Parts: sequence; structure tokens; C-alpha cells
Amino acid sequence: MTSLKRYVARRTLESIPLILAVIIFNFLLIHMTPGDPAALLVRGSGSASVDPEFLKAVKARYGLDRPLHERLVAYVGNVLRGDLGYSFFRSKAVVDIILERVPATLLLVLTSGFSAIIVGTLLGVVSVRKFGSKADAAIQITSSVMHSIPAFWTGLVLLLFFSFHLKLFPSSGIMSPVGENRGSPLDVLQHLFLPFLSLFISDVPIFIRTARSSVLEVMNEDFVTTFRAVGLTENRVLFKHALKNALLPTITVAGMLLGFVLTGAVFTETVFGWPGLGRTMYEAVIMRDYPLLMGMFIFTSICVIVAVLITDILYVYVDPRVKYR
Amino acid sequence: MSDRGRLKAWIARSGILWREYGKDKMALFGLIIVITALAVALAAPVIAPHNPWDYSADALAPPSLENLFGTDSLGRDVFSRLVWGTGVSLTFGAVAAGLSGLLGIVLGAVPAYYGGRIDDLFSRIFEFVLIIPMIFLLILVMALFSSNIYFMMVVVGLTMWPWIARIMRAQVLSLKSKAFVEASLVSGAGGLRILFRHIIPNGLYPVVANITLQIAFAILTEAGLSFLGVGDPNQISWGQVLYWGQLNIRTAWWNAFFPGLAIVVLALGFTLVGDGISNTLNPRLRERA
Repeated sequence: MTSLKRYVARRTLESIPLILAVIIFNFLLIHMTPGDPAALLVRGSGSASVDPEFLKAVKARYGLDRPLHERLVAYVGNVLRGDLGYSFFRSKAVVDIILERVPATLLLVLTSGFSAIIVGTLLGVVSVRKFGSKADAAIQITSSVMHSIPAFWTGLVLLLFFSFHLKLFPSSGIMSPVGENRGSPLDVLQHLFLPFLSLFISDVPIFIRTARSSVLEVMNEDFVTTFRAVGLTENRVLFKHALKNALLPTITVAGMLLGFVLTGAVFTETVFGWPGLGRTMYEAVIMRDYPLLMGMFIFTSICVIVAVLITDILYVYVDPRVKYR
Repeated sequence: MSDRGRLKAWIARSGILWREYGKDKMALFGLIIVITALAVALAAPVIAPHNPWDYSADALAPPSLENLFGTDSLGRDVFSRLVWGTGVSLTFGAVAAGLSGLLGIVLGAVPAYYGGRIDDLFSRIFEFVLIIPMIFLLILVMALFSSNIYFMMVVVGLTMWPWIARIMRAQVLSLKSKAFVEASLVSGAGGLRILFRHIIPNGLYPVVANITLQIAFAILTEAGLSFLGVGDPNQISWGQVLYWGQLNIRTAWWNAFFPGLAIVVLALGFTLVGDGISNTLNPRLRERA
């Protein structure tokens, strides 16, 4: 096996304990709560007093009548087979609820995430190019301010101004509830705009910061000094050579940042009633739908772990200098 | 060096750093915000024109001279509630970030100092905590166990410490091989004594900068969790005021706008102070090579 292949195999193997740890951690949480875990799972199945026969059936289904270590094995097995539990509020398997909501979140997260990466990185580079100038200060101050604005407040203010005050955009949902245009691309775009802008504003500062610090780091390296010495213009050094090298750190953190972007999406979707994972999370909180809450935690954690794995592997393909530790 | 000598040296170094910090206008602005918030929190009973819990018939009244930021759906004065909530939000940030800092310093420094298996184990734990999207875990834990605000402070603190530990670990690894540490080893000082009296104090500045940033992060997290409905309904925190306010956003914008603004300004204050501290300490960002 080549060392690259070995690296990929080893990194993949290293992710497995992380995923197991998430599942086991979740299991421990259920069993640390006071009271009967089965009662917790069937909350909301209709009546206040749960039919003992039904409770027994649920216990058997999720192995809750067996000793703790057997339960753990059964639980991990269930999750790995894709059974994240059953939401009695919605009378639906948790995994189906989640998968149904993924496309809307992907649409929102990908459009605003990529725009934020591009705009943020460019602003970060400009701020290094104009280091110490007013433009640099302005970019830095704006990014600090934006960094301190919680995503839900950005959303609320956009909602107040553009939707309630100017009536330019719809206030909630992914498409109009009625009408000829319902569900047309234009209709969806109109609904997407405000959540997109809101999530973009909350994501941009982190990319400005990442780009700025990694470009600053690269500008101190020998090859940059050499390029300057042989007479390349500062713009050329920066945009052609330094930027290329500085983008690599942005790739490495991109996987980690998925967790950050998803967090922003929870709030943005909640404000705008965007029918994605975040809004589902909010609905699950309001109903105290524990199986769904747990499923969301496991699902998003696994997504981020996989994203980090993929970016790590991409990184060694892109940057030949990296040693496969 | 004697304790007194070290204290003097520390004060002298702090003096130099303070002069450097003072050159940064944004950092000073941040400090003014933080100090103002502290003053408001301490003088809340004097500043607040109304009792923050008092209902009145004047529900959802728009901002006026009587009610600067209007009233909420139960006729309570939003301005007074924000003034009283300042202390709650500051306490939240300080306790969560303080706990995170304490854990981060000890759990970052000790394994790094001894190295080997323990260090590997802790590095894996940091990786685990840093990788999972915390908001989902926080929501789950708050929904499962309790919405008590003190419980939330502890839980938020427990999720933040690995960020500090990672920085502390890097500091310890780089200081471990420095001459002054080897000198004290040769002079017969014991292991943990060297760590806690020589290494940690010398590597503490970047950690302090990050703890300050975490205060801002903790305040935003409390607001976020409250916004999603897992906050403590028995407390007047800014997050709670915002949560009750946004329910009426269509009819009374001031209910959600002002609490949000307060949260933004305070978080910005702590962020600017944290950035100021780290810029003061990091000469590479200050002057371009």
C-alpha cells in the first residue's frame, strides 16, 4: 500500500471510535435522566397515562428490559443499522423525519456557506493587502461586530425590516402556501433570500478571520520574500502565490466549520420557519420530542465527523507538503 | 526567584502590556462597554425606573419616555428588565467561562507536562469535544435534565474548556524545554511545583485572551438556548427577555429588538477586549514582518 492509501485508511479507522463515542454518550444521557427511559421515549404518544402493555412492547423493541451492557450493545447496533428511534409525536421513524428535512437545509447551508467562504476569503486577503490601513481596520471592525451578532437576532432584524416593514419578502416557509406560483423556482428563491442573507451574515466573519490569519502567516514565509526580491508586484505575490497557500488552512477547517454553519442554520431556520433540520430541532424542543432530539444530535455529529474526515483526506491530495503522520 | 520578585516582574510586564493595549482604540472601546455593563449591573436597583417583575395594564406599549424600550405582553417595562438582566447575563458569562478556563488550564497543562499515554488520551478527548456540534448537545441536555440557569452555566462551561486546554497544552509543550524550566529542575524543584509555579504563569496570557472571548460566547449561547425555548423561565436573563419578546415580534418590534441589541453590544465588548489582549501579546499580528 502506498503511504497515501495507508493514511486514508488510518484516518477512516480513527473516525470510527469518534462515532461510537457519540452514540455511547447519547445512550448514557438517556440513562442518566431520572425516571424510566421507556416513559421518556413514548412521551406524547397520546394519553397522559401510558398503557403498560404498550410500554412493555417499547421496552422490548429497544431492549430496555435487558441489563445495561446488553442494552448498550443493542442500542449501538440499532443506530448503526440506521434506526434512530421512533417519534411518537409524529408517528414516524426519526431517521425518516430527518432525511425528509435534509434537502431544505442543504439548499440554505450550501448557498450561504459557499458565498460566505468566497466573500470572507476575499475580504480577508484584501485586509492583508491593505494591512494597517483604514480599509483593513474597517474590515476587522465589521467582522468583530458581525461575529458578536447572534444568528437569530440578524434574522429577526431582517424579518422586521424587509418583510414586515417593506413587505419585500415573505416572512416564513420555503414556498407560498397557495397561489399559481407555489413551488416555482422564483417562489422558492424569494423565500430563500432572507434566510440566506441572515446565515451569510453570521458565517462571513469566521471566514474573514481564517483567511486573514493564514495569509498573514504565509506572507512571512521564505518563498514570499523570494518572490518579492525577484521583483514580483505585491498584488501578484499575494493573489497568485500567497493566496493559494493560504487557502489550504481554510480547507482544513471547512469540515469543522460545518458544525458552525449548522448551528447558525438552527437559529436562522427557526426564525424564518424554513422547513429544514434546524426548524425540526426547534419543533422537537417545543414538544420535548426526546427521540427526535437525540436522533438530531447523533445525525449532525456523524455528518460533521464525516465532513472532517473528507476534508482531511482532500487536504493531503491538495498539499503535497503534508506528511502523512 | 522569590515570590515577591516574581510578583514585581509580573506587575512590570503587565504595565508594559497595558500601555500596548491602550494604543488599540477598539480594545479600549470594548473595555468601556464591559465596565459600563458592570456598573449597570451593580446599580440596577437605582437605574431601573420600574420593578422588572411588575405587571401593568399597559401591555405591548411602544417606546415612550415612561417606558424607554416599551412594554412586553404582560405590561412589564422592557428597559427595567434589561437593566436587571445585565447582572444575570454577566454572571452567566463569567461563571461559564471561568469554569471552562479553570478546567482548560489544568486539563491542558497537566497531561501535556507528563506527556505519553495520558497526553494522547486527552488530545483525543479535546478532538471529540471540538468536533461535535455543541448546540445540538446543549439543547438535548437542557431539554432532558433541567432548564435551571445555574445548571446551564455549568453545562456551557463544560463544553467550552477543550478550546482553552488546547491552547494551554501548546504553551506547556513550548515552555517545557525552555532554559528556566530546566534550571529549576536541576535545582531540585518537584514536577507539579514547576508546572504550577513556573510554566503555567508564563504561558497564561493567550489563555486569558481566549477566556475573555469565551465570556462573549457563553452570553450568546445563553441567549441562543433561551431563544430556542430551553432557557430558565424564572430568571430575567437577556435571553429570556428576548425569547418572550420575539413571540410578539409582528405587533411589537421593540420587544425583541432591544434585548437583542443589548446582547450584541455586550458580546462585542468582550470580543473586542479578548482580541485586544491577543493582539497586544502577538507581535506578528501587530507589526508586519
